[in-house]
Amino acid sequence: MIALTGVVLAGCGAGTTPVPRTYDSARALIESVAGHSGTGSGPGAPVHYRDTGFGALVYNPGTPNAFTAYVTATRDVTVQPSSAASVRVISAGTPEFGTATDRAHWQAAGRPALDSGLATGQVMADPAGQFSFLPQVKALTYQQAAALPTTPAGVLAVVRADSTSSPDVAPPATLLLRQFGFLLAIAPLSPAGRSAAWRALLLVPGVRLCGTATDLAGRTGQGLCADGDGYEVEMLVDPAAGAMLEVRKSLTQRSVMYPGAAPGKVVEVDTFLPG
Amino acid sequence: MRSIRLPRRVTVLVAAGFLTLGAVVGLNAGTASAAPVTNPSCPLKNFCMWQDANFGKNFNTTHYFYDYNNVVHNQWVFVGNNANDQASSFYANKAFTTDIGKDFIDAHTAPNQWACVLGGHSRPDLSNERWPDGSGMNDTISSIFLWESSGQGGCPEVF
Repeated sequence: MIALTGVVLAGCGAGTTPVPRTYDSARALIESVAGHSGTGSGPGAPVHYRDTGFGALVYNPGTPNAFTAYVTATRDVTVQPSSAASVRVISAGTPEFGTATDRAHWQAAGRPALDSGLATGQVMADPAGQFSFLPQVKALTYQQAAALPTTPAGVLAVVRADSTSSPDVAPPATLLLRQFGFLLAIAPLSPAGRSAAWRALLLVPGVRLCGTATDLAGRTGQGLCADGDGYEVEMLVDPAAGAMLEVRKSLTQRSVMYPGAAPGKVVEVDTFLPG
Repeated sequence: MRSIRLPRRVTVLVAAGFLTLGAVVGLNAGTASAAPVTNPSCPLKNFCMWQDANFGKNFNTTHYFYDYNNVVHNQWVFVGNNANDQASSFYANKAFTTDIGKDFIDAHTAPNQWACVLGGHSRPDLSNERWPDGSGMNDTISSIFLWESSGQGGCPEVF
Protein backbone atom coordinates (compact mmCIF):
# COMPACT_ATOMS: atom_id res chain seq x y z
CA MET A 1 0.00 0.00 0.00
CA ILE A 2 1.29 3.42 -0.88
CA ALA A 3 0.83 6.06 1.80
CA LEU A 4 0.11 9.51 0.45
CA THR A 5 -0.23 12.61 2.49
CA GLY A 6 -3.27 14.80 2.27
CA VAL A 7 -4.28 17.86 4.23
CA VAL A 8 -7.86 18.68 5.16
CA LEU A 9 -9.51 21.14 7.45
CA ALA A 10 -11.00 19.38 10.42
CA GLY A 11 -13.57 21.22 12.48
CA CYS A 12 -16.14 20.13 15.05
CA GLY A 13 -19.20 22.32 15.00
CA ALA A 14 -20.01 25.99 15.07
CA GLY A 15 -17.37 28.26 16.49
CA THR A 16 -14.60 25.77 16.07
CA THR A 17 -11.58 26.99 14.22
CA PRO A 18 -10.74 24.54 11.46
CA VAL A 19 -7.56 22.74 12.22
CA PRO A 20 -5.39 21.45 9.41
CA ARG A 21 -5.03 17.75 9.76
CA THR A 22 -2.74 15.43 7.91
CA TYR A 23 -3.43 11.82 7.10
CA ASP A 24 -0.48 9.71 6.17
CA SER A 25 -2.33 6.52 5.42
CA ALA A 26 -5.73 5.14 4.58
CA ARG A 27 -5.84 3.64 8.05
CA ALA A 28 -5.38 7.01 9.71
CA LEU A 29 -8.19 8.52 7.65
CA ILE A 30 -10.58 5.61 8.17
CA GLU A 31 -9.95 5.44 11.89
CA SER A 32 -10.59 9.16 12.13
CA VAL A 33 -13.90 8.96 10.26
CA ALA A 34 -15.01 5.76 12.00
CA GLY A 35 -14.89 7.54 15.32
CA HIS A 36 -17.27 10.20 14.07
CA SER A 37 -21.01 9.95 14.66
CA GLY A 38 -21.59 10.55 10.97
CA THR A 39 -24.30 12.36 9.07
CA GLY A 40 -26.40 9.60 7.59
CA SER A 41 -29.96 8.63 8.47
CA GLY A 42 -30.38 6.34 11.43
CA PRO A 43 -32.58 3.25 11.36
CA GLY A 44 -36.35 3.75 11.58
CA ALA A 45 -36.81 6.98 9.64
CA PRO A 46 -37.21 7.42 5.92
CA VAL A 47 -33.97 8.13 4.11
CA HIS A 48 -33.79 11.31 2.03
CA TYR A 49 -30.85 12.22 -0.13
CA ARG A 50 -29.91 13.96 -3.34
CA ASP A 51 -27.63 12.27 -5.85
CA THR A 52 -26.08 14.46 -8.50
CA GLY A 53 -23.47 13.49 -11.03
CA PHE A 54 -23.08 11.87 -14.38
CA GLY A 55 -22.83 8.51 -16.03
CA ALA A 56 -21.53 7.24 -19.33
CA LEU A 57 -23.54 5.99 -22.28
CA VAL A 58 -21.13 3.63 -24.02
CA TYR A 59 -22.19 2.73 -27.55
CA ASN A 60 -20.85 -0.26 -29.47
CA PRO A 61 -18.09 -0.93 -26.96
CA GLY A 62 -15.06 -2.63 -28.36
CA THR A 63 -15.94 -1.92 -32.00
CA PRO A 64 -14.34 0.58 -34.40
CA ASN A 65 -17.42 2.77 -34.05
CA ALA A 66 -17.38 2.86 -30.27
CA PHE A 67 -18.25 6.20 -28.75
CA THR A 68 -19.29 7.56 -25.40
CA ALA A 69 -21.61 10.32 -24.30
CA TYR A 70 -22.05 11.56 -20.76
CA VAL A 71 -25.30 12.54 -19.14
CA THR A 72 -25.60 14.66 -16.02
CA ALA A 73 -28.56 14.13 -13.72
CA THR A 74 -29.76 15.04 -10.25
CA ARG A 75 -32.22 12.87 -8.38
CA ASP A 76 -34.01 13.34 -5.09
CA VAL A 77 -34.57 9.99 -3.47
CA THR A 78 -36.74 8.98 -0.53
CA VAL A 79 -36.53 5.44 0.80
CA GLN A 80 -39.09 4.12 3.27
CA PRO A 81 -38.29 1.50 5.92
CA SER A 82 -40.16 -0.95 3.70
CA SER A 83 -37.50 -0.27 1.06
CA ALA A 84 -40.11 1.29 -1.16
CA ALA A 85 -38.57 4.32 -2.82
CA SER A 86 -39.46 7.40 -4.78
CA VAL A 87 -36.89 8.72 -7.24
CA ARG A 88 -37.59 12.21 -8.60
CA VAL A 89 -35.42 13.49 -11.42
CA ILE A 90 -34.67 17.11 -10.54
CA SER A 91 -32.68 17.67 -13.68
CA ALA A 92 -31.47 15.58 -16.56
CA GLY A 93 -29.02 17.00 -19.03
CA THR A 94 -28.59 16.27 -22.70
CA PRO A 95 -25.98 13.61 -23.40
CA GLU A 96 -22.68 15.20 -24.43
CA PHE A 97 -19.70 13.71 -26.16
CA GLY A 98 -16.52 13.51 -24.16
CA THR A 99 -14.19 14.10 -27.10
CA ALA A 100 -14.19 14.96 -30.78
CA THR A 101 -13.36 11.32 -31.44
CA ASP A 102 -16.61 10.31 -29.80
CA ARG A 103 -18.53 12.65 -32.06
CA ALA A 104 -16.73 11.34 -35.15
CA HIS A 105 -17.50 7.75 -34.21
CA TRP A 106 -21.13 8.68 -33.55
CA GLN A 107 -21.33 10.11 -37.06
CA ALA A 108 -19.71 6.97 -38.47
CA ALA A 109 -22.21 4.85 -36.55
CA GLY A 110 -25.09 6.57 -38.31
CA ARG A 111 -25.83 9.30 -35.79
CA PRO A 112 -28.06 7.21 -33.51
CA ALA A 113 -30.32 9.07 -31.11
CA LEU A 114 -28.75 9.70 -27.73
CA ASP A 115 -31.04 9.17 -24.78
CA SER A 116 -30.30 8.50 -21.14
CA GLY A 117 -33.89 7.56 -20.36
CA LEU A 118 -34.16 10.31 -17.78
CA ALA A 119 -36.33 13.42 -18.04
CA THR A 120 -36.54 16.41 -15.73
CA GLY A 121 -39.57 16.08 -13.47
CA GLN A 122 -39.85 12.35 -14.00
CA VAL A 123 -40.82 10.39 -10.89
CA MET A 124 -40.07 6.71 -10.58
CA ALA A 125 -41.10 4.36 -7.81
CA ASP A 126 -39.66 1.19 -6.40
CA PRO A 127 -42.25 -1.02 -4.67
CA ALA A 128 -41.62 -2.24 -1.12
CA GLY A 129 -38.53 -4.38 -0.83
CA GLN A 130 -37.04 -3.23 -4.11
CA PHE A 131 -34.69 -0.36 -3.32
CA SER A 132 -31.12 -1.42 -2.71
CA PHE A 133 -28.50 0.57 -0.81
CA LEU A 134 -25.84 -1.35 -2.72
CA PRO A 135 -25.82 -0.36 -6.40
CA GLN A 136 -24.48 -3.59 -7.83
CA VAL A 137 -25.04 -7.35 -7.69
CA LYS A 138 -27.40 -8.33 -4.85
CA ALA A 139 -29.87 -6.03 -3.17
CA LEU A 140 -29.45 -4.73 0.36
CA THR A 141 -32.79 -3.48 1.64
CA TYR A 142 -33.48 -0.86 4.28
CA GLN A 143 -34.03 -3.45 6.98
CA GLN A 144 -30.95 -5.41 6.00
CA ALA A 145 -28.85 -2.25 6.09
CA ALA A 146 -30.23 -1.27 9.47
CA ALA A 147 -29.42 -4.72 10.82
CA LEU A 148 -25.86 -4.92 9.55
CA PRO A 149 -23.39 -6.50 11.95
CA THR A 150 -21.50 -4.19 14.24
CA THR A 151 -18.07 -5.64 13.63
CA PRO A 152 -15.90 -4.72 10.62
CA ALA A 153 -15.48 -8.35 9.64
CA GLY A 154 -19.22 -8.90 9.91
CA VAL A 155 -20.05 -5.93 7.70
CA LEU A 156 -17.42 -6.93 5.15
CA ALA A 157 -18.81 -10.46 5.02
CA VAL A 158 -22.27 -9.14 4.20
CA VAL A 159 -21.05 -6.67 1.57
CA ARG A 160 -18.76 -9.28 0.00
CA ALA A 161 -21.56 -11.82 -0.16
CA ASP A 162 -23.84 -9.24 -1.75
CA SER A 163 -21.16 -8.27 -4.27
CA THR A 164 -20.68 -11.55 -6.08
CA SER A 165 -22.94 -13.92 -7.95
CA SER A 166 -20.78 -16.88 -7.02
CA PRO A 167 -19.24 -17.67 -3.63
CA ASP A 168 -16.20 -18.91 -5.54
CA VAL A 169 -15.50 -15.50 -7.05
CA ALA A 170 -14.16 -12.74 -4.80
CA PRO A 171 -15.45 -9.29 -5.72
CA PRO A 172 -12.71 -6.86 -6.78
CA ALA A 173 -11.66 -4.03 -4.50
CA THR A 174 -13.08 -1.48 -6.94
CA LEU A 175 -16.54 -2.98 -6.65
CA LEU A 176 -16.31 -3.25 -2.88
CA LEU A 177 -15.21 0.37 -2.61
CA ARG A 178 -18.16 1.52 -4.74
CA GLN A 179 -20.55 -0.59 -2.68
CA PHE A 180 -19.18 0.80 0.58
CA GLY A 181 -19.33 4.31 -0.80
CA PHE A 182 -23.06 4.08 -1.41
CA LEU A 183 -23.66 2.23 1.84
CA LEU A 184 -21.89 4.88 3.90
CA ALA A 185 -23.47 7.73 2.01
CA ILE A 186 -27.13 6.76 2.07
CA ALA A 187 -27.90 3.68 4.14
CA PRO A 188 -29.76 3.92 7.47
CA LEU A 189 -26.94 2.52 9.55
CA SER A 190 -26.86 2.39 13.32
CA PRO A 191 -23.94 4.28 14.88
CA ALA A 192 -22.21 1.00 15.62
CA GLY A 193 -22.96 -0.32 12.16
CA ARG A 194 -21.63 2.85 10.56
CA SER A 195 -18.42 2.72 12.54
CA ALA A 196 -18.00 -0.95 11.65
CA ALA A 197 -18.67 -0.22 7.98
CA TRP A 198 -15.93 2.41 7.92
CA ARG A 199 -13.47 0.07 9.61
CA ALA A 200 -14.43 -2.74 7.24
CA LEU A 201 -12.63 -0.73 4.56
CA LEU A 202 -9.42 -1.49 6.42
CA LEU A 203 -9.99 -5.13 5.55
CA VAL A 204 -10.35 -4.54 1.81
CA PRO A 205 -6.98 -5.23 0.15
CA GLY A 206 -5.76 -2.45 -2.11
CA VAL A 207 -7.65 0.47 -0.64
CA ARG A 208 -5.25 3.38 -0.44
CA LEU A 209 -5.18 7.07 0.35
CA CYS A 210 -5.17 9.08 -2.86
CA GLY A 211 -5.11 12.72 -1.91
CA THR A 212 -7.41 15.69 -1.62
CA ALA A 213 -10.13 16.39 -4.16
CA THR A 214 -13.25 18.48 -4.64
CA ASP A 215 -16.62 16.95 -5.41
CA LEU A 216 -19.21 18.21 -7.87
CA ALA A 217 -20.85 20.22 -5.08
CA GLY A 218 -17.60 22.05 -4.37
CA ARG A 219 -16.87 20.27 -1.12
CA THR A 220 -13.33 19.24 -0.34
CA GLY A 221 -12.55 15.77 0.86
CA GLN A 222 -9.96 13.10 1.14
CA GLY A 223 -9.86 10.26 -1.35
CA LEU A 224 -9.74 6.54 -0.79
CA CYS A 225 -8.99 4.67 -3.99
CA ALA A 226 -8.85 1.17 -5.40
CA ASP A 227 -7.36 0.18 -8.75
CA GLY A 228 -9.13 -1.87 -11.38
CA ASP A 229 -8.09 -3.03 -14.83
CA GLY A 230 -7.58 0.31 -16.52
CA TYR A 231 -9.70 2.33 -14.15
CA GLU A 232 -9.84 3.55 -10.60
CA VAL A 233 -12.71 3.92 -8.15
CA GLU A 234 -12.47 6.70 -5.60
CA MET A 235 -14.57 7.46 -2.57
CA LEU A 236 -14.29 11.04 -1.38
CA VAL A 237 -14.58 11.49 2.36
CA ASP A 238 -15.09 14.55 4.54
CA PRO A 239 -13.24 13.61 7.73
CA ALA A 240 -14.50 16.67 9.62
CA ALA A 241 -18.14 15.77 9.09
CA GLY A 242 -17.63 12.03 9.06
CA ALA A 243 -19.41 12.02 5.72
CA MET A 244 -19.07 10.13 2.46
CA LEU A 245 -19.31 12.79 -0.23
CA GLU A 246 -18.87 11.18 -3.60
CA VAL A 247 -18.03 7.99 -5.48
CA ARG A 248 -16.32 8.37 -8.84
CA LYS A 249 -14.78 6.15 -11.47
CA SER A 250 -11.94 7.36 -13.67
CA LEU A 251 -9.72 5.87 -16.32
CA THR A 252 -6.09 5.08 -15.54
CA GLN A 253 -5.22 4.16 -19.12
CA ARG A 254 -6.69 4.62 -22.57
CA SER A 255 -9.57 2.32 -23.39
CA VAL A 256 -11.32 1.34 -26.59
CA MET A 257 -14.50 1.72 -24.57
CA TYR A 258 -13.89 5.43 -24.19
CA PRO A 259 -12.23 6.49 -27.47
CA GLY A 260 -10.26 9.68 -27.18
CA ALA A 261 -10.49 9.82 -23.41
CA ALA A 262 -7.14 10.34 -21.72
CA PRO A 263 -6.08 8.65 -18.50
CA GLY A 264 -7.59 10.55 -15.60
CA LYS A 265 -10.91 11.08 -17.36
CA VAL A 266 -13.76 10.74 -14.87
CA VAL A 267 -16.47 8.59 -16.46
CA GLU A 268 -18.96 8.16 -13.64
CA VAL A 269 -19.82 10.23 -10.55
CA ASP A 270 -22.40 10.04 -7.78
CA THR A 271 -22.25 13.01 -5.41
CA PHE A 272 -24.43 12.67 -2.34
CA LEU A 273 -26.13 15.55 -0.58
CA PRO A 274 -28.53 15.53 2.35
CA GLY A 275 -32.16 15.51 1.25
CA MET B 1 -14.45 -27.81 -20.18
CA ARG B 2 -15.58 -28.76 -23.63
CA SER B 3 -16.57 -26.00 -25.97
CA ILE B 4 -19.90 -26.15 -27.71
CA ARG B 5 -20.30 -25.39 -31.37
CA LEU B 6 -23.35 -23.37 -32.15
CA PRO B 7 -25.97 -24.79 -34.48
CA ARG B 8 -26.35 -22.93 -37.70
CA ARG B 9 -29.24 -20.59 -37.52
CA VAL B 10 -31.82 -19.88 -40.13
CA THR B 11 -32.25 -16.28 -41.06
CA VAL B 12 -35.79 -15.06 -41.09
CA LEU B 13 -36.73 -11.88 -42.81
CA VAL B 14 -38.89 -9.67 -40.70
CA ALA B 15 -40.80 -6.68 -41.97
CA ALA B 16 -39.84 -3.32 -40.54
CA GLY B 17 -43.27 -2.84 -39.06
CA PHE B 18 -43.01 -6.06 -37.13
CA LEU B 19 -39.64 -4.99 -35.81
CA THR B 20 -41.15 -2.09 -33.95
CA LEU B 21 -44.25 -3.95 -32.84
CA GLY B 22 -42.19 -6.83 -31.56
CA ALA B 23 -40.05 -4.55 -29.47
CA VAL B 24 -43.01 -2.89 -27.83
CA VAL B 25 -44.99 -6.04 -27.18
CA GLY B 26 -41.96 -7.95 -26.04
CA LEU B 27 -40.98 -5.38 -23.45
CA ASN B 28 -44.09 -6.08 -21.47
CA ALA B 29 -43.84 -9.82 -21.92
CA GLY B 30 -40.26 -9.90 -20.79
CA THR B 31 -40.75 -8.09 -17.54
CA ALA B 32 -44.11 -9.33 -16.35
CA SER B 33 -42.79 -11.17 -13.33
CA ALA B 34 -39.95 -8.91 -12.40
CA ALA B 35 -39.30 -5.70 -10.52
CA PRO B 36 -40.61 -2.33 -11.62
CA VAL B 37 -39.78 -1.16 -15.09
CA THR B 38 -39.74 2.47 -16.08
CA ASN B 39 -39.10 2.76 -19.76
CA PRO B 40 -35.51 1.62 -20.07
CA SER B 41 -33.75 3.83 -22.55
CA CYS B 42 -32.32 1.67 -25.27
CA PRO B 43 -32.08 2.71 -28.91
CA LEU B 44 -34.05 0.68 -31.42
CA LYS B 45 -32.14 -2.33 -32.78
CA ASN B 46 -29.81 -2.28 -29.78
CA PHE B 47 -29.06 -4.77 -27.07
CA CYS B 48 -28.52 -2.71 -23.92
CA MET B 49 -26.96 -3.52 -20.59
CA TRP B 50 -26.67 -1.44 -17.44
CA GLN B 51 -24.03 -1.63 -14.75
CA ASP B 52 -26.73 -1.31 -12.09
CA ALA B 53 -30.13 -2.91 -11.63
CA ASN B 54 -33.41 -1.32 -12.75
CA PHE B 55 -31.78 -0.02 -15.94
CA GLY B 56 -29.70 2.43 -13.96
CA LYS B 57 -32.58 4.66 -12.97
CA ASN B 58 -31.59 5.03 -9.31
CA PHE B 59 -27.96 6.06 -9.70
CA ASN B 60 -25.56 7.51 -12.26
CA THR B 61 -24.63 4.21 -13.77
CA THR B 62 -22.86 3.23 -16.96
CA HIS B 63 -24.95 2.11 -19.93
CA TYR B 64 -23.65 -0.23 -22.64
CA PHE B 65 -25.45 -0.14 -26.01
CA TYR B 66 -24.73 -2.70 -28.75
CA ASP B 67 -26.17 -1.58 -32.07
CA TYR B 68 -27.21 -4.26 -34.54
CA ASN B 69 -25.91 -2.04 -37.32
CA ASN B 70 -22.46 -1.64 -35.77
CA VAL B 71 -21.71 -4.89 -33.98
CA VAL B 72 -20.86 -7.97 -36.02
CA HIS B 73 -23.63 -10.58 -36.31
CA ASN B 74 -23.69 -14.35 -36.06
CA GLN B 75 -20.62 -14.71 -33.93
CA TRP B 76 -19.70 -14.30 -30.32
CA VAL B 77 -18.42 -10.85 -29.40
CA PHE B 78 -16.58 -9.89 -26.24
CA VAL B 79 -18.59 -7.16 -24.54
CA GLY B 80 -15.47 -5.06 -23.88
CA ASN B 81 -13.13 -4.69 -20.94
CA ASN B 82 -15.10 -2.15 -18.99
CA ALA B 83 -18.40 -3.92 -19.61
CA ASN B 84 -17.11 -7.37 -18.80
CA ASP B 85 -18.79 -8.90 -15.74
CA GLN B 86 -20.60 -5.64 -15.04
CA ALA B 87 -24.19 -5.95 -16.25
CA SER B 88 -26.99 -6.02 -13.71
CA SER B 89 -29.90 -5.42 -16.08
CA PHE B 90 -30.53 -5.72 -19.81
CA TYR B 91 -33.07 -4.92 -22.47
CA ALA B 92 -33.13 -6.16 -26.05
CA ASN B 93 -34.86 -3.38 -27.95
CA LYS B 94 -34.80 -5.33 -31.17
CA ALA B 95 -36.78 -8.02 -32.90
CA PHE B 96 -34.02 -10.52 -33.44
CA THR B 97 -32.73 -12.78 -30.71
CA THR B 98 -29.56 -12.00 -28.78
CA ASP B 99 -27.45 -14.55 -26.94
CA ILE B 100 -25.61 -13.68 -23.77
CA GLY B 101 -22.59 -15.65 -22.57
CA LYS B 102 -20.97 -16.07 -19.21
CA ASP B 103 -17.53 -16.20 -20.77
CA PHE B 104 -15.88 -15.38 -24.05
CA ILE B 105 -13.93 -18.16 -25.73
CA ASP B 106 -13.71 -17.10 -29.36
CA ALA B 107 -15.97 -15.77 -32.07
CA HIS B 108 -17.21 -19.21 -33.13
CA THR B 109 -17.29 -21.12 -29.87
CA ALA B 110 -20.19 -20.80 -27.50
CA PRO B 111 -19.38 -20.09 -23.88
CA ASN B 112 -19.94 -22.90 -21.44
CA GLN B 113 -22.95 -21.07 -20.10
CA TRP B 114 -25.14 -19.07 -22.41
CA ALA B 115 -28.76 -18.10 -22.85
CA CYS B 116 -31.02 -16.40 -25.36
CA VAL B 117 -32.81 -13.10 -24.98
CA LEU B 118 -35.80 -12.80 -27.26
CA GLY B 119 -36.49 -9.57 -29.04
CA GLY B 120 -38.13 -6.97 -26.84
CA HIS B 121 -37.42 -8.80 -23.61
CA SER B 122 -35.66 -7.38 -20.60
CA ARG B 123 -34.58 -8.19 -17.09
CA PRO B 124 -34.31 -5.34 -14.56
CA ASP B 125 -32.36 -7.22 -11.91
CA LEU B 126 -29.99 -10.01 -12.86
CA SER B 127 -29.49 -10.94 -9.23
CA ASN B 128 -32.78 -12.79 -9.71
CA GLU B 129 -31.57 -14.70 -12.76
CA ARG B 130 -29.40 -17.79 -13.25
CA TRP B 131 -27.45 -19.49 -16.00
CA PRO B 132 -28.47 -22.99 -17.10
CA ASP B 133 -26.06 -24.53 -14.58
CA GLY B 134 -27.74 -22.63 -11.76
CA SER B 135 -24.97 -20.11 -11.17
CA GLY B 136 -25.90 -16.47 -10.67
CA MET B 137 -26.06 -14.22 -13.70
CA ASN B 138 -25.46 -10.82 -12.13
CA ASP B 139 -22.15 -9.21 -13.08
CA THR B 140 -21.14 -12.23 -15.15
CA ILE B 141 -22.02 -11.45 -18.80
CA SER B 142 -18.89 -11.44 -20.95
CA SER B 143 -20.13 -11.97 -24.49
CA ILE B 144 -23.10 -11.50 -26.79
CA PHE B 145 -24.17 -13.04 -30.07
CA LEU B 146 -26.53 -11.12 -32.34
CA TRP B 147 -28.79 -13.40 -34.33
CA GLU B 148 -29.96 -12.47 -37.79
CA SER B 149 -33.35 -13.88 -36.98
CA SER B 150 -35.86 -14.18 -34.21
CA GLY B 151 -36.57 -17.51 -32.59
CA GLN B 152 -35.11 -19.64 -29.86
CA GLY B 153 -34.10 -22.91 -31.49
CA GLY B 154 -31.23 -24.58 -29.67
CA CYS B 155 -31.28 -22.14 -26.77
CA PRO B 156 -30.41 -23.76 -23.44
CA GLU B 157 -32.33 -21.02 -21.63
CA VAL B 158 -34.63 -18.30 -22.87
CA PHE B 159 -35.38 -14.88 -21.47
